[in-house]
Amino acid sequence: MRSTPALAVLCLAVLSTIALPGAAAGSPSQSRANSPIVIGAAVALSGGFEVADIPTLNATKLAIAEVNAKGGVLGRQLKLVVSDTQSQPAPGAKAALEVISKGAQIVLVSSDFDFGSPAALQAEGKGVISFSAAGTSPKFGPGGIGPLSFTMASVGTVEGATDAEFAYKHLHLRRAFEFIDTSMDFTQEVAFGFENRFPQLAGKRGIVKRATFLQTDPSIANQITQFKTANPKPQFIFISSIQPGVAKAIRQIRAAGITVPIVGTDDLDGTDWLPAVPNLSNVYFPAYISFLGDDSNSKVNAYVERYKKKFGSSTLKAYGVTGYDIVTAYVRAVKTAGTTDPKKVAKALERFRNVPLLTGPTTFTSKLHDQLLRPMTVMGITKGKDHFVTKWKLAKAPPIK
Amino acid sequence: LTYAVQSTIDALSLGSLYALLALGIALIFGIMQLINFAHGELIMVSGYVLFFMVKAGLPWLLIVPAVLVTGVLLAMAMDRLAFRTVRGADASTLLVTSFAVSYLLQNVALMTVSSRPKAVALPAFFSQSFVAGGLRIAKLDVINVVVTVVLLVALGAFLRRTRIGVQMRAAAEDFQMARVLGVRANRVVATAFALSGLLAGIASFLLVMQTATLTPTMGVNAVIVAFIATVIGGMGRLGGAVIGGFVLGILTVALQAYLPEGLVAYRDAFVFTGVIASLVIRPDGLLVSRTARKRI
Repeated sequence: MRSTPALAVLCLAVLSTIALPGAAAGSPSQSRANSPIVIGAAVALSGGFEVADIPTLNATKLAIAEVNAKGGVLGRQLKLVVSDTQSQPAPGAKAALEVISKGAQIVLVSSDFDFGSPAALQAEGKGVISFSAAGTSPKFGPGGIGPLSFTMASVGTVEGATDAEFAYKHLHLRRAFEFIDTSMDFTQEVAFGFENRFPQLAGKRGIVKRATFLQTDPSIANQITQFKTANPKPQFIFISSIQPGVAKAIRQIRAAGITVPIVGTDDLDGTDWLPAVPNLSNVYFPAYISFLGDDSNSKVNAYVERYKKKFGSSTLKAYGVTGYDIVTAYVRAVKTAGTTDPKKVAKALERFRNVPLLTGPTTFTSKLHDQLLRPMTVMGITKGKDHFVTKWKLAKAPPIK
Repeated sequence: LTYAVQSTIDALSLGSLYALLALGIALIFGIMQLINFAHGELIMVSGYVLFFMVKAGLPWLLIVPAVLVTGVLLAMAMDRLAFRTVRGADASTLLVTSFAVSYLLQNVALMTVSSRPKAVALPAFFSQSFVAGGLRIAKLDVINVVVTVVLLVALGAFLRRTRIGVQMRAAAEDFQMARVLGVRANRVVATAFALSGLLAGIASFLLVMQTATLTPTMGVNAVIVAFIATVIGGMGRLGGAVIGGFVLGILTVALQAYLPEGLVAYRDAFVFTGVIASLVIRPDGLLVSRTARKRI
């Protein structure tokens, strides 16, 4: 259903870039000493993806305000310009061009490869850095969009591998049952990480059975039947899916009287889905931070307080912090490079080795602009409430799908 | 064996839900040759009414009728505002109109309640299960089947026993002839929409009880499934829609249960292959409407 309009918009996107050659003539000059450094955001302010982009954009705003309060960088203030991608490819590409034409030296793009790549490609073409906040795909980088493209997320397989190690080593569970949502790349990427790591720990028989489902399935009753009749009896469930499908699935799993531990993806982050499963317990998932004030990193807790003060808690999501870290990382790289020249800043970013950001020690290399070994924060849900469990550092880097 | 029996329960539960959805589509199609793709939005709007009433802490005695009334009123409003003006127009005009209504409502929902999924806090009763004969059965599965059967019996009685019901059946057979014989078109069509709205309200209820999650696009997939079920069953036959719904539900669950592991991710491809095969063998659907074929 989606392919035809998507193709049409893509054509439009191409056309619009041809039609607007004068809109953004190369990367803007860096010589204006006291003019502000422009940070562009080509993210979704409307349409289906706005829900995902608002938390990171807010965090970016917070970081910019804080940097400016401390006097800016290289004696210059930071200035944010925002353009709406409307959650669509064509306006996404246009939004990137618009903020670049307003002088953006770095463009924040949506937290998903499908939504963020049109804008990132435009930025790459104009020689400007693009940064996805929580888009997990390693294609944000030299292997995909190009050397000026970055993401503050971890590769999706990290989440699956973290689930595998946490379930085996911390919960001491040996037999897994998988519920894999095959509707999208991200969930299959996370599943790949789990399917790679768990059998290494628990042996070939570690994964008892794999059941698949789709976001659109109104019921996963039969997949649940497969769990109940699986032999040997699985000790826990690994579920790779996103909202709203994952909430629906967990509701049905618990409604069927299955109480075993469930490990999932970072899309279990946030509290607004919890009413769907009354009194939910025994669920664990990897997240970027804990936003409940109980993180083991006190700087994270202080950040959460500042965020709440500025924006309230309705948009508070753990992954939002990636939007904050982008600014911190960018400012640090600009300082090291002594310029805002995107190529030099990108080189400075590629020299990051375990730089302590709120999301954890962050590394970029000339090959990968995505995280493989940064520890994730394992969160738990007990009696309908989220809580911090532990920071989890993988014993070895997971593969990239 | 346990697996087979449990799978049968799953299939019946899913089939009932599909049958309810298909019935809503078939009711309207039978009378005015309109495939109402906005049926999904009736489900969506009813769902949000449920959400906000639960959130406001209103009693269920008030919520249940309000949700059903929402479906009915919205369906009748659709008929009056959008479809009456194009009644009798080309089938494609009707189809485009229904898409327009559907997108309009989806976008209104996007603007007002946002795309953020909403979770409804429902009483624990709906997410419980009981054990019977070594099987663990979700209460909701039983509710699904019982509600569908009761509705089918009630609808059947309505269409056979009441005056307006008989008129609706006459209109479904041959709309022009029925009008000539004194059946009032507006009344019949409005009743059909009201009934389909009621079915949408009930379907919305069952769907939300199952998932407790709402999005502005929640009705889209439901209506596509319903449409396919209607086609398999035979356009224009209510019984056909019900059979189509069950066939689709059973086929989906059977494939989910018995396809080899490598293939099960492509379940829907097999489901639709089955649908195509069924249409090749019986192009007019499992139950053929007496008026479906043009007699020359």
